[in-house]
Amino acid sequence: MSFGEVYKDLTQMALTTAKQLGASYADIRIVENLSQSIETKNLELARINENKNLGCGIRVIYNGGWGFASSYDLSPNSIKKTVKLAIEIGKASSLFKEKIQLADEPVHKVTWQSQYQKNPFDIPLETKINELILASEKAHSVKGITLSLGFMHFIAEKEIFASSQGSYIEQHFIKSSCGMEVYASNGNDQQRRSYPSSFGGQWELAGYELVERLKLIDHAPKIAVEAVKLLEAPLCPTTNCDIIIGSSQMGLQIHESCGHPSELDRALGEEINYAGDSFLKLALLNKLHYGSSIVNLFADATIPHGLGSFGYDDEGVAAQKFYLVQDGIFCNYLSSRELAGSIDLTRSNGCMRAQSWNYTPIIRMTNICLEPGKSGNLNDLIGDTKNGIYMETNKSWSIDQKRYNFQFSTEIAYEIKDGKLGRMLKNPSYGGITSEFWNACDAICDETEYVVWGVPNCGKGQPSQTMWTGHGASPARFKNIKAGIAHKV
Amino acid sequence: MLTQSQCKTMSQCKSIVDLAVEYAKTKNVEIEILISQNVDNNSRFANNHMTQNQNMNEIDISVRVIKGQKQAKYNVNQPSKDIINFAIDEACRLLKLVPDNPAIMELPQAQTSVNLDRLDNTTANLTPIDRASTIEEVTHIAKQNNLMASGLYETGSNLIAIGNSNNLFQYFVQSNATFSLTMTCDNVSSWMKGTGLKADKLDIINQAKHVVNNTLLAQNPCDIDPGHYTVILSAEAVSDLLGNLWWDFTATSFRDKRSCFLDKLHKQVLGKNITIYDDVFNKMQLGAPFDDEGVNKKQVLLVKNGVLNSLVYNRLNAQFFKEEATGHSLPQPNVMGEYPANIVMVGGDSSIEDMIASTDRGILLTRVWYVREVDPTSKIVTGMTRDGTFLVENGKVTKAVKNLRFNESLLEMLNKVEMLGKAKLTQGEESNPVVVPPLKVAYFNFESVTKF
Repeated sequence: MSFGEVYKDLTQMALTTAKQLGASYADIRIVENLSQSIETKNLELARINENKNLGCGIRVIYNGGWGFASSYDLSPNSIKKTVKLAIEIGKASSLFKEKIQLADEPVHKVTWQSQYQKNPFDIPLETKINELILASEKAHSVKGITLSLGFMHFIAEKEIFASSQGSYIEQHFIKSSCGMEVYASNGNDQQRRSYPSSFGGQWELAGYELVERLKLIDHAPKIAVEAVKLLEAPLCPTTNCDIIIGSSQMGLQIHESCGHPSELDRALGEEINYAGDSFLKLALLNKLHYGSSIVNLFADATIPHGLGSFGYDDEGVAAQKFYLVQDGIFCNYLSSRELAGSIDLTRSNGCMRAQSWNYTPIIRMTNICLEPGKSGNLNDLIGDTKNGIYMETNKSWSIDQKRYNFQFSTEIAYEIKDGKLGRMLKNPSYGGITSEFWNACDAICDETEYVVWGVPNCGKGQPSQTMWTGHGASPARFKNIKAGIAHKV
Repeated sequence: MLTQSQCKTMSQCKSIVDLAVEYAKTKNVEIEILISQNVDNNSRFANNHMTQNQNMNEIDISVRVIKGQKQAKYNVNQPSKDIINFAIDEACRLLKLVPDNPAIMELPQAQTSVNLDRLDNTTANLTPIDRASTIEEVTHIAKQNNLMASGLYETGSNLIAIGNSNNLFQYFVQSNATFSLTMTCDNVSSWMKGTGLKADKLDIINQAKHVVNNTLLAQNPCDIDPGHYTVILSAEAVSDLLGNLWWDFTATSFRDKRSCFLDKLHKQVLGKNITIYDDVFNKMQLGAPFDDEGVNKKQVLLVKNGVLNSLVYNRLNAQFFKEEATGHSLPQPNVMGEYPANIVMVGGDSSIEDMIASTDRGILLTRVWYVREVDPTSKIVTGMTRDGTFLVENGKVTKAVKNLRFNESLLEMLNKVEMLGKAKLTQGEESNPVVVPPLKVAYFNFESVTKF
């Protein structure tokens, strides 16, 4: 029996019970998550951990109030008890209710599977450990490396969504990641380089082919040499200049300054106690010049290997692609069935996602991407830049609660002089105001430099939920930006 | 009568551990079982109405098996005998596939359990209607003042239990209550957050009225030039700033050459008015009296009058540095090693009002936001102010100002503390609960201003 068939009767029983108890709407999600984590520290295997997790979350509307309850116990008695608890919570919510109107969505009865070539759980553990240990050995062959960390994570997730409106959706996900960090310290300073990006490496909706493609062993010596050289490199100067931002850093720039402010629940004030609200107020929709005319940003949950991809979101809405910024104009939000009507959408654009079975879904990014431009590859763009700084690989990130004022640091930077890369610079940083920054974008590299970066740790909601998002980006250039602001020179 | 989820009892956890230890014997492996459960009932509201209302009940059973110089781990979330035996089987399968690691230690021996009574059943069993009634009262106050209230009321309980093949068994359960509130009007806001073991100690209604006053005070924020200012930091702001410093007090951060205190043990690193403990037994603190290997926690004096006095050590690093383990291990194996999760910074006797009165020109901060480390050696962090930023002139709060971005070294900051308030249990939105005081700090560096 398939996963969906195993739990079909249980889900129908839950939905029937909810209706009998007075729910005007109910849905149930059952999620099984199998994960494997492998971590190395220096030349040793530091951790091998597998995890199997199963449970359900039941969401109801009772007398206009939302209720949600969850359980790791999937016995029929436990499910009935969980439904009753969700109803009781819905009753409490209805004490001070706003009318809930869910936007229409077709009924879906479907099974969806993410794309991959090699199931990572079929790859011998020894192969994975050897890859990480060999990469560490390569890094430590560079004099001055004081610490290396390597990591691979693999997830196989099965999800069922069933609603009182008739949808029954079964989804299967395979997620893979790998990466490494190397550190150099001389007692007075410490520097880090990461590959292929920082804070967890690269994540994709993919199989072990991702690990094979990234070739950690080949890249380890390069980042090790860079980490050691950074100790002696001059500080990034404090100056206003043209900057070129590398692809992975562009991914985070998009995440923080476009993805989050375009979440509709933020714009409506529903996130204001924690992650904040948004400068993208409803009155600015289809009016604000968010960026220059070459800036096109879109949400796309259908990208085959994007970490933010799925077949259907966690309230059963089919994955979609739509623009958030088109020709520089802010033109849409990320929405839900409940909030779509507030911006006159007749259908949710499918952005409701939950961290796991025990969280109620909230509006989240899917894959938020910057459309490639026409400025050639990275070498072409550097060649086209008289004076500036090239920065890559995120080191730290911070942005205000309306998503205006941001500051990013990257692991490494290079001067650009007369169209060529010059000296390596350490502790680079840049900052600005979101809309001014995106309006200063004058060049974007083409699709040859385009990577859909996976971010596995986007935080939002109370209690805080982490989410998988994707960000397609090519390197881009921004004119007259404040650089070197974290360390004044 | 609604029956809410409850944490497992001590006897239920002991039974799980005993069954697992017995089964592990048949596999000829040493075993550690770490059980953690979190029953979290949370009601979220915004714009004066309920937006999200949940019961979350999650349990994690972590099985670590060791044989010789190999170890492996498997986690499940079903507390049945069959599933736990499955986890042990799977961990043993992994054990055969991993290389030797000479650093692996024998599991800790049985400890003399220390009892900390931190369970308030009333708080653990608060109902959705109880929480909704409180929230309704708060939103009523907001409406009376033409404000919008948004926030979270969270109550429940959590447990940690651990047992191993060496007859170690420890169990701890505590209640928890958190109420956080943002009031807004037009483009300005104010905020509060209370956390603790007992819901009735959070003083929610009085705190809500205080937030109303601050929201009204925050109207019409003025432009201000960035630069260096004396700042008065709420305890919550101190919590979120210094949350970036605590891992630097671990033996692992020294061993990995990542601590900002490298080569500075027993040297003056902070101002003479700074004393910091890690102390789970402090009456204001929360949490279990043992670590994630079941080792009893000790009170550790980290900084005494500005001198770096000691670090926290898990068993592995205690052996490496020839020190005693302090009971601060994270779940093993773990590349981060250990963590001081029960920080107590000794406060002073100044009130916020005293700090304001003694300031010629400065800035009063309610809350900091998105604080991130930008330099691990000098410990520069960046972040924003939010939800109430005020100018202090000639000993008085004179007006609200627009929010600012700071780039400030925590090491420098703790060398220029001019006044300390009374320490209290507090939790910013991005840090663990800590006991810290409000601070008045000289020459705090603001780099830029935002638009609101």
